[in-house]
Amino acid sequence: MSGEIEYGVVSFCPDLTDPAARSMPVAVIGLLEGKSSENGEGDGKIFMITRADAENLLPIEDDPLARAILNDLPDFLGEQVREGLRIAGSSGLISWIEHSLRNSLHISNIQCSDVDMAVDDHIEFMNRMAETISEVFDEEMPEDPFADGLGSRTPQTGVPNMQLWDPASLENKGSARSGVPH
Amino acid sequence: MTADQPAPELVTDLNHQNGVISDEWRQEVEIPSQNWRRADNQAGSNFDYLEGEAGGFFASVEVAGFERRAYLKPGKSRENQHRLNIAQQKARAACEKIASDLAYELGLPVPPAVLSQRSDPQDQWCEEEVVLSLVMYPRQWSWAQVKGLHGGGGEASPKDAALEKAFAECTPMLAFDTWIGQRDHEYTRHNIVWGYEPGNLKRSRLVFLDFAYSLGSSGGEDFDGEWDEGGWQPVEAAGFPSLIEDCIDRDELEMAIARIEDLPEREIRTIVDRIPTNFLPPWRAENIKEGLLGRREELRSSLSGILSN
Repeated sequence: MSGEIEYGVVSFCPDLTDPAARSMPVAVIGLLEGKSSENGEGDGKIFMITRADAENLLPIEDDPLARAILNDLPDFLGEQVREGLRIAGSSGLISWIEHSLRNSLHISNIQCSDVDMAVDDHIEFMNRMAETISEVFDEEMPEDPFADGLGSRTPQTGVPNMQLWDPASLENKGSARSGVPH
Repeated sequence: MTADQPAPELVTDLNHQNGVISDEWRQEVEIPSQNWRRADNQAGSNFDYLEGEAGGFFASVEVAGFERRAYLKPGKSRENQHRLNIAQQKARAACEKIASDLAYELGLPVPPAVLSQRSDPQDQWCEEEVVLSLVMYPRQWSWAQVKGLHGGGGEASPKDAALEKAFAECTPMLAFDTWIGQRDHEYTRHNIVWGYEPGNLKRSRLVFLDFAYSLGSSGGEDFDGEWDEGGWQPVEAAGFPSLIEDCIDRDELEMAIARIEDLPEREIRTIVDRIPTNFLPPWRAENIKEGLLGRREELRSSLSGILSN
């Protein structure tokens, strides 16, 4: 089975007026698809994984609104994903979100690549998918993005939140939630 | 500095800093390209900065002693001479500057803007004439997110109170958008942003961005000269997001219309005439002046339905 992953990294910028300010990645939203080489049938999922410690890592003590949004990031971004799926479908989701998140919360990076999804059945596909998403999260979310002296704070704590959507059933408001070991 | 000279005033309040920059850029028409460079912080620009209708990126600009971030556009290559000619007729940079200067005179929440020349266009089909619009607030949320932040069925929160105050303060923008023929704020996801200084949510504001599709320029592939030969008529009420429309205050709208009507004609003409001709062809400058002066005569009647509701 061949596979492809496209994802966007959602980051938070603490000061949009500062030309040198650095953003911190707080979530990854993406589409992971696998296709059988035999009949071309495939399976795919929209995924979103958010870090649990963003509220503690960022200098936002004096901003209760930003704290509340980051504390509630899975629901906040999940709503964006559902609206994006309704409007743009799975193929246009990442671009739609990129154009919606243009300020303090924004897409800082988009990646698209082939992934190895050589598996025999659906269960293996799901396991391989979870591994791939976890690898992406580890790669894109540094333990402490401000660890170079620009405000190192509390180390990463808590379990990242992962949500999955079946792109073929946009009306399905339910989502599978699970903790991903980190 | 000698001992008997006073130390320069230390400006730390963001609103004051924004005011200083607004004053300076209202006076300036154009700044040298040496005054800005591409910023390290590109938060919020399109991942591929050449995407979008105009394309653009964030610049670091030095103004009034401050190093601030501003959005520079247009940045997109037009690919051939024909498309470049059309882009130059659309005069996006000039439209942004004119709208910003008019808004300044009316005290409206539109970022200060200043023209400049690009010395580093990516190719010969890229417009060299650009505009820099100041990023006003450290924290900003796109309209697409603001919609989701409002309400929620629970008790009124400080966030909702701040948002509703910000919505109510937008009433004058309805008169302004109607006057200048702005049509890009109704179904926007990010041309309206909610901005504030951390710790000062009560002084938050909705800021209105992107005036490239105003003053007789549309978003089509070709330039259709909408304000040519009296084409600025009819004057129709600008579309606004329903959340803001629901907060329209008739008295505020009445006052906003009166302020536009009271703007001296000479001021309006000067704001347009001082744009260099490489940014704004003279025939378009004439159309814009004629349109602005003609449309304000009909502004009150175009909004009469809202005024009488």
